[in-house]
Amino acid sequence: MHRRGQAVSILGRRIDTFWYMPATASRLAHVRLLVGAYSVVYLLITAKNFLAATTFGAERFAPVGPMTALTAPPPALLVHLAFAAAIATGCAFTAGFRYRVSGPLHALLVLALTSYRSSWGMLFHTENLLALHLVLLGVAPAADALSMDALRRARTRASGARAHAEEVADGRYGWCLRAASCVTVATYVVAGIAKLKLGGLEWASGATLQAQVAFDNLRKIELGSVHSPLGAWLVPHRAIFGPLAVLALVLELGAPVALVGPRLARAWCGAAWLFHVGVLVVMAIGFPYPLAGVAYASFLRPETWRALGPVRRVLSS
Amino acid sequence: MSRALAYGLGLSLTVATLAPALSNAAADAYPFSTYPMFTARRETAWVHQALAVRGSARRVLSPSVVTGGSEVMQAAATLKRAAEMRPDARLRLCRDVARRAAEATSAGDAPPEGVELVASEFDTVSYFTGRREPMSRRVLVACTAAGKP
Repeated sequence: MHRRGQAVSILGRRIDTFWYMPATASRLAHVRLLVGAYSVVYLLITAKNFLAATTFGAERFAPVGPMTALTAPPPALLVHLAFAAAIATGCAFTAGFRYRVSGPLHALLVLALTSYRSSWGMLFHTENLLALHLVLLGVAPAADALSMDALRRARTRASGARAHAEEVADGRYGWCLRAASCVTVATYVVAGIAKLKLGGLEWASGATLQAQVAFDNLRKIELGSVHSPLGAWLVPHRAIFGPLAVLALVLELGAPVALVGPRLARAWCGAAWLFHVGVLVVMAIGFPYPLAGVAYASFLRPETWRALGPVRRVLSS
Repeated sequence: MSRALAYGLGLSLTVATLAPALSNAAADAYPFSTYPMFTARRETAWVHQALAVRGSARRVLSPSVVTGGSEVMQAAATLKRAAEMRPDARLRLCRDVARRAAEATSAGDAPPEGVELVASEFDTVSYFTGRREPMSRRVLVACTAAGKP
């Protein structure tokens, strides 16, 4: 009985160490910075497409996510205002300004807007992960470092104490990174399971993938859009698709290895990024969040990236 | 508080993201998706298109003309849903497309005489080995730029 109690206690500690993993405030803040900046840039680039939905006929409204609470599309003015607010809160989110308000608010606005955009018969799978990461970051203490809030607080504190606080690893900064990584892994695993559930083991033969690449490029050509010339060239070469299908399944179903340790995480992130590059090149389908690398930031150590040096200096000077 | 949030929200979101794997994979949702893309074997495919009509000539209209946005997938979904719409809603969509097609006509070019929303069936793999013509085609609705059916 005593031994069982000990085993349960050890297991509990291991789970806690895994989930409530220690990380520095700086590391979490770097992830906030990357995801926030991506969110703002993404909203700006896709603004036309987001707002085009306000001109769609109400009969086409097929609500998903939080939009299912509505029986009719929200007024166009409200969507425009929400969009402007999402940009403004996104800037505050990225800079870590009034984060206790701007963090959750930006996450909720993006969730609402992306749900709205997917409520017209086409689900934008490229936005799920961003929306979920923003929810996690929005409620985490992600602006305790490298932020305008931290700068304001530091004015009342000695700089040495501030620097020390930013470098101390604590579970309250790590859990969000762990949860974001787990959510990322979960999306890939679910995608892999869907292939097996709907396509069976035959999916690994490559025939389904070949037909998918053909279908997708055909549809784009016939709809008068940009297609992949490489994909169109590859379609008649059936033998190529078997290995590609197996690789895709291994990557998706094997995603949990990224949670084992930093080296495996880096290797899996690299492979997943290449997978998306492959999808882009062969099918002209871009998943911008992973392609930009930002989707994998929670697995990595962005606080060591030199490229972020100028931003780091601005937000910590 | 931090620990409760870590376990409560963090685990809930992870479980909610994984949960669709246990449900009907074809029943997609947002933001917790089954990610059913690339799963179905599509040996033949129905492609829903908007065509500009001029005499006996047919030209595929771009996504921006179909929806007013530039998302090709959204245009495809809009046209696919047209097949399930009531006839009056389908005609309204056709007229919207025809109006945008007329507006998008550059100066000096003649605007289309009309628009057809069609469903065309293709052999997906054969399409890339030379058989580009649809195996069959159904006209869902036809209308003129002036708004007459």
